[in-house]
Amino acid sequence: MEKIFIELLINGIVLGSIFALFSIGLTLIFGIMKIVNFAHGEYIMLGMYASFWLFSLMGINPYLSIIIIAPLFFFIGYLSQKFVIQPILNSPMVAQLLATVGLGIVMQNFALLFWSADPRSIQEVFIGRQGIEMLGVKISYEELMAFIIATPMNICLFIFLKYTKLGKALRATSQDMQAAKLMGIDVDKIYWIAFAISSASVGIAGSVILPIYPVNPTIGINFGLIAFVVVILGGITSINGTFITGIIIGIIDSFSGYLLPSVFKESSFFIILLLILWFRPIGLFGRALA
Amino acid sequence: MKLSKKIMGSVVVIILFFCLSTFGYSQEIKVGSVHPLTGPRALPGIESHNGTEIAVDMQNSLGGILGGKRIRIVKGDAKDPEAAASETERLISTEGVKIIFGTYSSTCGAPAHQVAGRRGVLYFENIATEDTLTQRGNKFLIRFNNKGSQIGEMIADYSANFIAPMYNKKPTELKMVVVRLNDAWGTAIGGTAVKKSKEAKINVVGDFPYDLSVIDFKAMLIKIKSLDPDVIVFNSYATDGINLMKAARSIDLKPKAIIGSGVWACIPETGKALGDDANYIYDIESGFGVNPKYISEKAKKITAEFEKRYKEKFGVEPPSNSYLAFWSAWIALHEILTKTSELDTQKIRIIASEIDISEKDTNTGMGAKYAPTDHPDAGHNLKSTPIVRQRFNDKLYVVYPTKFAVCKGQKDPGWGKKKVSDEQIINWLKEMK
Repeated sequence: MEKIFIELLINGIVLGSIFALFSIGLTLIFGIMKIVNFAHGEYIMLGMYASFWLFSLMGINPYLSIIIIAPLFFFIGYLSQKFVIQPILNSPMVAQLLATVGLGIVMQNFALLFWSADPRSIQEVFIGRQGIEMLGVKISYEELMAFIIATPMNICLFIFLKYTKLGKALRATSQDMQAAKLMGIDVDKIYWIAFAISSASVGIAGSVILPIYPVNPTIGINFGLIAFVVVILGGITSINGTFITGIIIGIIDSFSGYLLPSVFKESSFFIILLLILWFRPIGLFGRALA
Repeated sequence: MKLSKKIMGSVVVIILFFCLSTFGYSQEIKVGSVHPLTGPRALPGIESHNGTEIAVDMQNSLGGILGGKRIRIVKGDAKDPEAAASETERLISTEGVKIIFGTYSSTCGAPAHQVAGRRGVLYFENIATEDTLTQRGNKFLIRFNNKGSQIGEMIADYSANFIAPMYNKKPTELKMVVVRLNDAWGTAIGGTAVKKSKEAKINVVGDFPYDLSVIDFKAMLIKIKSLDPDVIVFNSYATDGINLMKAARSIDLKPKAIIGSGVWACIPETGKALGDDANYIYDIESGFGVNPKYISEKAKKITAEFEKRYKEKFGVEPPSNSYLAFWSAWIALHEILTKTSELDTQKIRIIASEIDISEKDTNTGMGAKYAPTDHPDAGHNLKSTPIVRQRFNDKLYVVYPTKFAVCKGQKDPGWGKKKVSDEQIINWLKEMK
């Protein structure tokens, strides 16, 4: 029983780091631009496909493909912000929601049109190597890599936002857009940078997730839903909150998957979300609004 | 005078226009094809549509249906139950179809059948397996494929009578876990597998329904591992099936046999994801590839023609769903819809009840005899039967029922030891001869 507890805990932490990895980007957009990006999951899906095709056609290891995918998705994020998000920034919220939902549907159908509905998967990147053993529990190298990449990514983003001039500008814009403008911050530039960084981080997440899970055009819906729970629970503007909450959600997912009937597994973290928001509407690590 | 000449000329043109368009219309008949073409069921949905399309092409080359009319397919995208209903309605109201082929999915098929049934439109259901589809009194529904309960029963039958003895166990000593989708299809197959396995005295130690939205299965599989099952049934679609297998391997979950029921067990993508570890999976459902010695020359010719056309048109070997959808549509088009020239759905329904196609006349192990409208399972194919196949090097070999088998079922050696050589396969095939 003790071994199972440890196995579930380690599985939950690793799973949670994966959740955090693909949720961090949403925190940036949500927190800075106040845009609910319903296409977030589809960016993850495209990131997985990009990594898949680089591996299948050119033999590039998914972890090395990050070098290509990060700048590529940075550019894709820039284009998305310029041509889809920017025009609707001052529109009613319904228009913004519909725009991102529409973007998501276009991306899904793009994937379906060009790559079909076939699930795409790669064999484990470290073929023949079974993984490491920690406290009697086996962890695959692919899952370990997800944890290893998520943690420094979170740290780098935290340092960037906290200590760099651009990071401070991003935080200022998230706190008060009008005041940021008055202070001479180019808010339009901040917005595309935020979206581009978010997109790049999601592209990286896709590369890291692909060795573990197969991809198909509709997989983004599942990831996107979890990302929203993690971000809301973490406190919309908090990068650290997103990382920690991702781990918490991963652990909840792991234990509920073991203890509860499978059909209740997905609802367990939604129930936790509702309970926490009941007592703390700004999320676990969110700042109270002025 | 000039004006009246102009008017006369216009009237002549208009009359000619209608005559010509009517002439063209009477030589063609539109049929609907309602399948999931987008969404999570798109892979098997498109495969099913493609099988239907080849059947239509082949019948057109033989002179069409209903007195020589050329068949034209109009597609509907049944990506979810609501879309299935609305697309069926659109095809009937806007396109005027009276015959529909579909749907692969039970969840999407059910509302589509209802819409068609209310409008007196014939619906040839190719693959959807939920038992109750043919128990709702819909006189215009005809289903070629097995019911889910038949597949569930076969899972129990094969496990008790072949897998248990393979490991010198009695059924009571065989521990089984069923992992299934929490929808109509999963309940039909996986739910029945649980029920029938218990009736066969198999020790069912777990029943794990899950939602299609689940990404990570490890926690559930850790629980399953603690139950130490001998047999695990993964009743899943494509992505979730592959996900389950990868997760099972990652935690070293080692049952004696893995039974797949669902598209994941037979698609090439499973081989790409798992490599040699995709070998030895059992696929228990409707399929193709029965022993050629058992089937008629007529069936061999039709199969060869289908396979040739499929590969030419779509560039790949036809998958299981395409074979099933093909035979369902082919029997409808060639054996039913050529027996009358009238598009009278009541009359056609009676003709459908009168056909009796031998199981030797298809390569699926199934014949076709559709229950009449006063039968409790009106429209169901009384000659449907699932088959058991085992996967080696991305091909599936029929192992049961024995009369259809090309080789015997083989013991699974476990993760990392599942490499199979061509020589081994040849020897197994020879053993059956």
